[in-house]
Amino acid sequence: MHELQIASDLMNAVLEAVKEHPNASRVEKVDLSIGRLSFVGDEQLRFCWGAITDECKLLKGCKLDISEEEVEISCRSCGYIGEMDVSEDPMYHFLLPVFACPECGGEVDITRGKGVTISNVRLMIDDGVEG
Amino acid sequence: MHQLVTIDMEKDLLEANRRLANENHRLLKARGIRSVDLMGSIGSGKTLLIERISMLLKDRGHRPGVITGDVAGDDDHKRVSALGIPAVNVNTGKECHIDAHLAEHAIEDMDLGSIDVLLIENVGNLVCPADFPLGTDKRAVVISVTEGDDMIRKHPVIFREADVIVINKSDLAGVMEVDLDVLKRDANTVRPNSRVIVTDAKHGVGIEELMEALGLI
Ligand SMILES: Nc1nc2c(ncn2[C@@H]2O[C@H](COP(=O)(O)OP(=O)(O)OP(=O)(O)O)[C@@H](O)[C@H]2O)c(=O)[nH]1
Ligand SMILES: [Mg+2]
Ligand SMILES: [Zn+2]
Ligand SMILES: [Zn+2]
Repeated sequence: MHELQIASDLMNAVLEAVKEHPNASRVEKVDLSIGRLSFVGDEQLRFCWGAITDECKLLKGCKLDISEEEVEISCRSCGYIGEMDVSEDPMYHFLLPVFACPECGGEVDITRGKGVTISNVRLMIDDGVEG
Repeated sequence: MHQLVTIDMEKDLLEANRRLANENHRLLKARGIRSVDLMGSIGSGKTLLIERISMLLKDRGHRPGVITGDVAGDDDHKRVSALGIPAVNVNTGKECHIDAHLAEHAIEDMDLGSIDVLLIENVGNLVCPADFPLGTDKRAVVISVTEGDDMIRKHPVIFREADVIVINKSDLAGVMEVDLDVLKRDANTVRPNSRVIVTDAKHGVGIEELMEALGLI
């Protein structure tokens, strides 16, 4: 629901990373992963991204390659690391995530699946040499 | 010659918010101020609970301060100020949540020397605030029985983020034919051993139990 903010943070982060390549003529593609537990929609993000990069020479037309980051939890008691359980409620036809250890029921930390992470940026460099 | 270059990076865009939240937390701790972020659905009773808690804190010799967050307007801010409690208003404009950056500015605007407890009312929304911790000691989510008994099931993530889950307007449970046990059971499914407090802010029921769960008394 806050894709505009995320898109603008993304734009700043990409432009910052590209600074190290003063000869960059264009950014072709950004790979991004969105955690399943974060509230960022990929379609809305693409839309906002297209809108805010439209006036930017380096980023205009830059593709967003979005993948989904799975959830990983780690148990504070028994050390379990892995997927979390989903409880199926036949009465409501609902899938409820269970934020407890599937092995021992202990309290867990969510170690993956909450972030919005840039994994790489692909850019075109113009080195000024003819040919 | 053109050449394609790939820059590998591992940058989490939500990390900046978490960093700012940690700074807010450090600042408040250094001043000896306890803090709570009250998230929750629209109209669930966040402001009324804050008014109740603030008055009880005052009675006990504490000095509460309140940050009220709303998309627009200053109605909640006026209600709290009218009680003689220091209050700072945050309008989020186009955003549907307070983030750590907005909280930081609101904290700057607050006279920290005159308070020892900071209560932050987040924007009414069961989705966005989950992604944006503010740096408070505790986070609570307030829902009320008038929203029906499926609120937790529909928004599990924010309840997972909450230290305390508040089910307010218990006085209306009968009229609404809402079974409090269904809500409690769902809370326990998404977060086993979660602290669920049932309140009736209108008649001042359950407020002290809530304050205790929030570490305020
Ligand atoms: N019957 C009853 N009414 C309540 C209770 N708590 C709050 N209300 C009423 O519900 C309405 C909304 O309460 P607020 O405290 O403004 O709710 P809020 O969550 O701050 O609302 P927003 O900031 O607009 O999202 C008001 O008319 C309150 O008087 C309660 O426990 N029982
Ligand atoms: Mg309010
Ligand atoms: Zn938002
Ligand atoms: Zn375990």
